[in-house]
This record gives sequence, C-alpha cells and structure tokens, in this order.
Amino acid sequence: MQDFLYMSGYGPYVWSCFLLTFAVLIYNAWQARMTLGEEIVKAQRRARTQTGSDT
Amino acid sequence: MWLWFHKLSSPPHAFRTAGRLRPWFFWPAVLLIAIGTFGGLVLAPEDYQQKDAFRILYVHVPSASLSLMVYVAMAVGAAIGLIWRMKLAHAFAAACAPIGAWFTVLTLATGSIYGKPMWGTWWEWDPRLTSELILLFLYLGYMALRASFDDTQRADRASAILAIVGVVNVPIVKYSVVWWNSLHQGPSISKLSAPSIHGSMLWPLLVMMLGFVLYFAAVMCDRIRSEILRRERNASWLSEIDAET
Repeated sequence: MQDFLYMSGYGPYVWSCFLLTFAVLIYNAWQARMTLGEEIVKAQRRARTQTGSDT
Repeated sequence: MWLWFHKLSSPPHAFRTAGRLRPWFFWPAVLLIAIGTFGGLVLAPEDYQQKDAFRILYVHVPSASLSLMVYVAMAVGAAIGLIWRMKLAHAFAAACAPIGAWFTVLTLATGSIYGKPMWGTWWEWDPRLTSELILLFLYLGYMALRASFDDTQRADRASAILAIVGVVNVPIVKYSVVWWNSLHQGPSISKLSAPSIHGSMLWPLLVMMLGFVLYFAAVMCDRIRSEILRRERNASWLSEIDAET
C-alpha cells in the first residue's frame, strides 16, 4: 500500500494530478447542473408573468 | 432526415431530448473514468524510463484531446449557426466554451505537474505548451466577447467569427511536436503506424478517453439546456417544463 502511494517517488505529482482532475470534473458537472436549475426557475417565473399578463 | 433535423432544432424538442440523453452519457462516463483510473493507477505496469510519473498521462492526455475536440466542435457549431442562422448551433457553441476551457486548464496544470519531475521545470515556452496556452486564451476570449454583448444575436455572430478564426490554432497544437523540435514528447497513440505504447498501458488510456468524451456529452446536455432557456422568450412551453427534469 505504501509503495502504491509512494509511486516510486512521484507520489505527490501523480496524486495531485488525479485529485485536481477529479475536482475539476466534479465542479464542472455540478456547476452546469446548478446553472440549469437556476435557468429553469427563471424560465418558469418568466412564463408565469407572461401568462399572467396575457389573461 | 431533414424532418428529423428540423425537429431537433426546435428548442422545446432539443431541450427535452438533451434531458433524456444526459443520464445515458453521465453514468457510463462515471463507470469508464473509474475503470480507466483503476487501470491506469493499479493495473498498468510501471514505465521503464518515466517510472510511475507516466501515470499522470492517464488524465493529461484525455484532457488535452478533449480541449482540442471541444474547440473543433465549438467552431463547427459556430460556423453552422453563422451560415444557416441556426440558433441551436450557436447555443451549442456557447455551451462548449466553458467545458473546453476547463479541459484546457486541466491540460496545462497536469502537464505542468508532469513537467517538473520529467523536464525539471514547471513551464517552458515550448511550441506545444505555448499553443495550448493560446487555446485557453481563445476560449476565454470567446466567453468574454459573448458576455460583452447584451443582444444575444450580435453576441452569437461576433463570437462565431472568433471561434472560426481561432480554429487555425488547433492543428498548431496538434502537430507542434512534429513540426518543431519540442521539449514535449511526440505522439504515441495517434500514429498512422502501430501505436508505440504497449497494450497493457494503452487500454486504460482509451477507456479514460471514452469516459471523458461521454462526460463532455453529459455536461453539454445540461449546458445546452441552460442556453436554450436563456434564449427562449416564448412562454407556451416554458410553463410546462418540470423543475426535476
């Protein structure tokens, strides 16, 4: 296990790259999801005001 | 064929289709990235020259490939939008930019971390590295240009031209290691002859690449839906959308 973490002396480089990649991938997917949620709320509010003004 | 194309380009239909497709891209992407990570970190043998440091390439290479692929996709979307005045194509291009920019950031960051033990430096003004940095500036420039217009149509047109002109940088990034005597290593898997990488090291890389492509498709589904909503002013179908979808 220690050998695996040590990565023949390159551990800090290898692990930081993988952690950074996963952090960015998770953040990117999460941010896209959050933005979509906000846009849906905005669109529904807009739709309600428009239908309200039509009637 | 044209009917299908026309149907897909209608905002409500595209919105629903992207929502339906997303889980089919997302979960296989998670699975493939997990398998690729396990294969790359545990199963692949150590490189005889680069030792375990070569494992960084399992995240660096897919990020780099995607940074270029996403740019080409963005430029194609922008060109279609510009030529055929198709709003959905502009929405696609606009949705590509932040995803591509993040892949470019990852490429530069992981490349830099790889460069320190391999080349003895975090950064070098080498053709491959410099052209990849220009790619990041193109993405950022594209997003900044879009943000500077209040009118979506003008933003679409102006940013599309930047995206199309910037595509000239893509072959420069791709072939920089062949054209110039670069510090960066040459291609290993995209050579027309047999790839100069052993199968036991190659398969996790290919799995990871496929995982990244599906991940891009999944995030794209969410981003293009946001873009469609931002542009859509017609209330009739907006009132029917479900917050859960």
